Amino acid sequence: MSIFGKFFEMLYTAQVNLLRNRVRTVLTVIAIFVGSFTISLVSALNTGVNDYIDRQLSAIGGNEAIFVTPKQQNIQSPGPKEYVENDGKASTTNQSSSIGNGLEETDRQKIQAIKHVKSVHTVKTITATYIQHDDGKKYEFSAIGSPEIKLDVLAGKMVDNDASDYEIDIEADYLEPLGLIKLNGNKDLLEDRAHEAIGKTVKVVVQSAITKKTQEFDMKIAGILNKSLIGGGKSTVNSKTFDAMQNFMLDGIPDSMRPKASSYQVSLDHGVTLDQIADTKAQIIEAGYQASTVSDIIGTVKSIIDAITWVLLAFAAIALLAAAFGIINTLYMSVLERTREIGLMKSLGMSSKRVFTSFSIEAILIGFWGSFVAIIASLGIGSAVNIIAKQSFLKDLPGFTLMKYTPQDIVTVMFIIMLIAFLSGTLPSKKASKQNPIDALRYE
Amino acid sequence: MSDTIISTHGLRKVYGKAESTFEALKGIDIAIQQGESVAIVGKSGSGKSTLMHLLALLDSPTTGEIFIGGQNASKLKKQELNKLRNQTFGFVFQQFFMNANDSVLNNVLLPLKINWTKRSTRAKAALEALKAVQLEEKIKNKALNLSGGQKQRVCIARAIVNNPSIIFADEPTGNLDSETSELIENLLFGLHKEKNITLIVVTHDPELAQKCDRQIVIKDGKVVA
Repeated sequence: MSIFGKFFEMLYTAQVNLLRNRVRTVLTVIAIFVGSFTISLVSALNTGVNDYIDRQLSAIGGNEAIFVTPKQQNIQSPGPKEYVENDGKASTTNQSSSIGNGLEETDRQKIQAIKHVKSVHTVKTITATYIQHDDGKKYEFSAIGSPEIKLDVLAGKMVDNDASDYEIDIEADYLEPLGLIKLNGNKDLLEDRAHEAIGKTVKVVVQSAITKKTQEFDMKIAGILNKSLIGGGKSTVNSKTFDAMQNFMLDGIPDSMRPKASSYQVSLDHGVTLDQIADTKAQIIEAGYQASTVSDIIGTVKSIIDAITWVLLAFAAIALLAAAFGIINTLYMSVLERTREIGLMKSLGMSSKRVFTSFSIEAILIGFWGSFVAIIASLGIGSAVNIIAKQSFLKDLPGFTLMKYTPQDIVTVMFIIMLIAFLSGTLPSKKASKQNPIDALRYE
Repeated sequence: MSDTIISTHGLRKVYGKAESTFEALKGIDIAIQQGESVAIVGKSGSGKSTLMHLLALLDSPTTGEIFIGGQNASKLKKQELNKLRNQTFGFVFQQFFMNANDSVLNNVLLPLKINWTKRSTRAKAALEALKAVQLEEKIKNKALNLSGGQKQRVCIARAIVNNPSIIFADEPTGNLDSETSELIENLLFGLHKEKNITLIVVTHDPELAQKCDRQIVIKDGKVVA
């Protein structure tokens, strides 16, 4: 018989043996189920939350990044505001387009010189006069230029800095007001319909600072950005677009008067310690800037979530420990009950190794069924929770999937449970395999 | 006919520890020839069952040696021992020892399952063995639902399914009425004669013992005749 033939033979026999004492098997499977179910839920929650946080983090440059802004900072109000047409009067500052404020090349060099600083990226922002799709309503609009960091894209792709076309990754919040997609008041449809806006064209109008002339830029939507918890999530255009808009707006302004970047994203050396990050941050502040690190923004939240996860996992582990004793008990009873049968099989030439293996397979099968049913149940509960969460407490955090199941997580959970089951089974399996055939046959 | 298949030398078996020891066998020297039918007889508690268990390598002696086909059994590797139990020996027990909830067929093919015989071959061999005991129509019945005589016939079928050279029968008719006993005896001796299988029977039934070529009488752990 081939090795596979032998394996399936043993698997089949083990399953038949388990079904011979259905009640006991089912009760043990339920015990395993409770533990696996809890672990699977906690792991999905942890994955969901951490995945969201990680995406937010990568949007601001990951762990080894510091955000630097000039001392005075603009506070931007979230969401688009409807544009009110200027009725022929001289334009106010409010309605003129503007470009970032504050940081000069000298600032960049100063920061670059600080210890542990690897590179300093410019975060360029541009404020247009308005944005419009076809002949729809006009909205106030500002964008970030040529991203060097990964964006949290809801649909489509990131803008291509090498592209020769005008491309834009637009904030999801703009889609419906601009008339790019129809949601009919149901925000839940956003995720499903966002892709409909991809490839459509929006018109961004900018005004020159000096000449007050305006120009339209038609740009193709390359991607839709998730609304973000922190920093990122702002509409982003590719280099080509940004440079063209900037050149038009600054036309006629001498180089020395051109405003530079509004903020820097400082990348630190790979593998810096938390102390070194804090040290670098202190030096940047000392040099006269505002600086915030990733941990300032989100670190505390993440560590609290990790702590909660560990506490929940500890509870799940206790449940599993109890289940492990359930397996030991089930198999032990089974060994006692089948002592004569074991004796018979040994007297008919079955090896101790095979007796051990068959009882171990039974244990692993109990673990398999328990974890399998638990994961199915957990997937069901998880998706229900996700739907409820999206409609209630996570309404304002699009792209946040609370319970996230990855194939790796599922396989890992099942593997761990089956390993625990195997280990719990070794004790009774060992007892079964050790028996002398005639003693086992004589067992009353 | 005259090859020695099993022989023992100074076989002793002591049960228990320290002060509460009981010496079941007190030095047994016997030799059994290939194709012989031997009855091991004696009163209950004489040690005859213990002797058979030792001869069948189901238990190990406290001291002394057993030779199977000239080979010292204590020097066999585990694998060789299992192969011997599976392919050279066939067992028929007084208490049948069957998996009651399993079908007759599955009970008979158990030794084949243990030595990983292919499924198709298994079923064929089991059917053959069941034909030999005239139970082929009960193939799908649960072992549980058989009469005592039928159960023992299933056990004989199981014992011969691997074409063994020795059958050990421990009180094969002990739980059966006289009519059924005769049927079982006829089966066993028929196999013994047709297939030249060595038959070693433990019994306290003088009639059964008389049918064997030779009787080994055990009394208080010693061979007395």
